[in-house]
Amino acid sequence: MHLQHLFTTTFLLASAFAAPTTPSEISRGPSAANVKRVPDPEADPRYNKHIKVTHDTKYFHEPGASNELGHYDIRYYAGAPVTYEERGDALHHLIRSYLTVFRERNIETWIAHGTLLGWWWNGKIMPWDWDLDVQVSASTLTWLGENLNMTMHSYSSINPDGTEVNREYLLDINPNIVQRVRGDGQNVIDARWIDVRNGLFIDITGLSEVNPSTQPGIWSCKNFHRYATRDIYPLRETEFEGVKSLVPYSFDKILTAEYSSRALTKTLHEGHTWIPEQKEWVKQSTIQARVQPHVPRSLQPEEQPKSGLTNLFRVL
Amino acid sequence: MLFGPSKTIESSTADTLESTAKAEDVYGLNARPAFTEMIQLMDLPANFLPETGKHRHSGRLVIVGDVHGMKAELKALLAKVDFDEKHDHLILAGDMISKGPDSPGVVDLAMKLGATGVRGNHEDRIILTYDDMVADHISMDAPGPSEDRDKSQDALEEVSFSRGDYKDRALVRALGHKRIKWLKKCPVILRVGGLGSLGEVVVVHAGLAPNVELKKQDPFMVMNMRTIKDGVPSEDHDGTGWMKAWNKFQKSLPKKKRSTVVYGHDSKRGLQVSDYSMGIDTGCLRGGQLTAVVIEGGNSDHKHKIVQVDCTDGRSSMSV
Repeated sequence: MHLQHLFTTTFLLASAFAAPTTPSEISRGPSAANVKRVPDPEADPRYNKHIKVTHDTKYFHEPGASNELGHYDIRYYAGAPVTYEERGDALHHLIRSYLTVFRERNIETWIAHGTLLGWWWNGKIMPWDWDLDVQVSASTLTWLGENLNMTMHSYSSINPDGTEVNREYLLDINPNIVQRVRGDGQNVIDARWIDVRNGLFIDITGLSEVNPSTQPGIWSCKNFHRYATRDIYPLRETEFEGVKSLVPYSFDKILTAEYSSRALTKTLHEGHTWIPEQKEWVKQSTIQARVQPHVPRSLQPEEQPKSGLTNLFRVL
Repeated sequence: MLFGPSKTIESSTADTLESTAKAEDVYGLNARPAFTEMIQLMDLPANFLPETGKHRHSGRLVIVGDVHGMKAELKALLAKVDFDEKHDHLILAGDMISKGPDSPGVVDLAMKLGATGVRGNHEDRIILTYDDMVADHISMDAPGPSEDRDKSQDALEEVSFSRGDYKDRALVRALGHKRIKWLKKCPVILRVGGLGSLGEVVVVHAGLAPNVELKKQDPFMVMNMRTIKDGVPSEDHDGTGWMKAWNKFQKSLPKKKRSTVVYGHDSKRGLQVSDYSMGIDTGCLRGGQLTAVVIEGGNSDHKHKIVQVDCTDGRSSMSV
């Protein structure tokens, strides 16, 4: 909590003195004119003032650890989980707003993990997937921390049925980003893009070259995932949930390394069947479907180190 | 609306349930979105197809494997087949650039001859590196609000160093906008057309997954695959070559529906000619051979032959 205040104070001071010097900085770089800083989040009516502040090492908190509650940021959780319909709509615009805002600001980011797998199947979030995962490079993450921490972003969109969507999203950078190794595992998520209406969020993780001398060209996140940079870069431009998005260069290799090649052929998942003609995952109504409770990454117990090593041997 | 009430399948009988559960997992059923500016499939203009019959035009198709900037060897090979600039058509099966002594020269020659190129993994990487270099990126190295205003760093150098793509960026600069624009027009899959007993001839850089429509092939795998396991293609060298599954599948089809694929990419396997596939990456860059498949029309059927020239090791004389 203290660190968070430190960050915001630095910003207040900085924005008073920093002046854009070149035309491109004026139009692209964050400045007082095009960034909405949130110096006092507790003053926002959407912020849950009654929550008890826990003094542990974890920065991001959720209202609970269950499949349901683990996907909400406690500070913006509206008190009850959203309905199924609301959830689909919220996640759809959550990722669209993130990709759109970052693209407009020329900040490089790409979709990862389950979100990338959803893209591979049909360019959409898999209907049973609560987690939205994106990645950035460590230098981008540092820059975000220095320039866009605790900023609110407006997003608007027209639905296919003509209705308008106008929302706001908070970008919150974890003060623990300076530590690029896992540590106690409480802060493996580097940043969040939060829907302030209900607390649903995107997990943002940064990749850095943690061992440039012994393992050059290998980037990893704080949660055991390792990549060869030449498998990520150069990024490919494509589409996700109807907006432009980037994906890693060797997306097949990355997906099969993380999920096995079966993830690219299995047409039955979590009670849903892949219908090629519809290009959709369709929910089976039967009770036979055994749905595994989905624990969000930020709450997952420490992963077997074995998976990390296997991953490492594959890329070396 | 994308997310209405969940669509459900009413499974009425236990039998239906069981058969769904046991359904064979199949590769190639996905519907991945397209990539910006990547041409998945292109048909070769029909006038380039060698004709058969008494009054046929004399034009031939000359398909060459991974050139990798070895311009002199390419010229020697074209001379050896008596390449007729007016009537013959050159197809380069990808990896015409990178690693060798004169990548820009090879592209210039291809452009001059009006050749058709196929997008290989090296073209792919260079094109995307180019796109990244010209894109508007926010300068991560501009001083942050709390940093000294005088701090400056060569953003390009630092980015390049940490991503290990210095050589790629140098090659992008050597090729330049015009040549890269030409490379962008090269499709991932070139459908040549029906050529007699060869069936429908298709040229790709690395391979094709059997029983998947050309439009639905995964472009990354088409440019990179070497092996195939349980129907899923892979870049790995170890395992069953994808062409085995391809040939087996072709033979299961009625003759009229069969297809022959000409490809490169796998210099370790070298020249690989089967009934319905021809692998023509013969390691020219490393002092192997440069190989061409020459297809021409005869009186009644098309015929093809393999022509090769020896190459010097082009790696030491690499300019970029």
